[in-house]
Amino acid sequence: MTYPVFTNGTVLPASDLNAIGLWLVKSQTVGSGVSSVTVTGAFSADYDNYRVVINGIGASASLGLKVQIGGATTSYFGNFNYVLYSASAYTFVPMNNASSWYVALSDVSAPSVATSFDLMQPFLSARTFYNGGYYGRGYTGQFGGAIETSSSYTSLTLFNESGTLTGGTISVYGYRK
Amino acid sequence: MELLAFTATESKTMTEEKKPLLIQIDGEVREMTPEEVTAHEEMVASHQPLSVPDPE
Repeated sequence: MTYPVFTNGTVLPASDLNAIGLWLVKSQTVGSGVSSVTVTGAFSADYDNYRVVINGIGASASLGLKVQIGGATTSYFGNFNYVLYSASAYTFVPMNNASSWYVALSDVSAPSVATSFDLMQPFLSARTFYNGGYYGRGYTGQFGGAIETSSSYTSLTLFNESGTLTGGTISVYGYRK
Repeated sequence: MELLAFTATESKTMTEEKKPLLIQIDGEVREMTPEEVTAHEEMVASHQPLSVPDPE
């Protein structure tokens, strides 16, 4: 079907609306000098899978930007890598029963970090998976992994490995089932 | 020459005041409770931070 173009006053048939594949669930601006930022009510039975987009984040120290899903503090598995824009050798960072996942490298300079990832099944009582890519502080890379539990989560928390975060936006979108 | 004796009646140590940690939950930013501080410190202390050099 052709993508619908909406205009003011147009009748919106359910068939067009129900074909919208991605829906903004929640968007949160990051405050100034916060040690962590939690987005509550991000995941629910409305969707099985989500897209998380984070940009404009500044940090007090150039380290790793990390995420915790719900109250999970262990069982994060996966791998995160980075390569400098002018280089060709990747560095791989295993996450082997870690307490959180990496989602980017943070930047103490003018914020130059953007990351996005798919988050699969966070609300279901099943493994939660993530995979995505980022660009930050001149480095790019990919990441993927799973939380090896069968717990259900409704929130996510973003933090820098040390120090604080300032500015930027965290947006959570739901993929229509 | 008479020596002047000085007796310290009060001493102060100049220390940098520790700033409170701020937590943001949705749109609310506030100081962490002691329990939240403990949990946060455990969260950031549980691994070695990435040491990635800044681009030249």
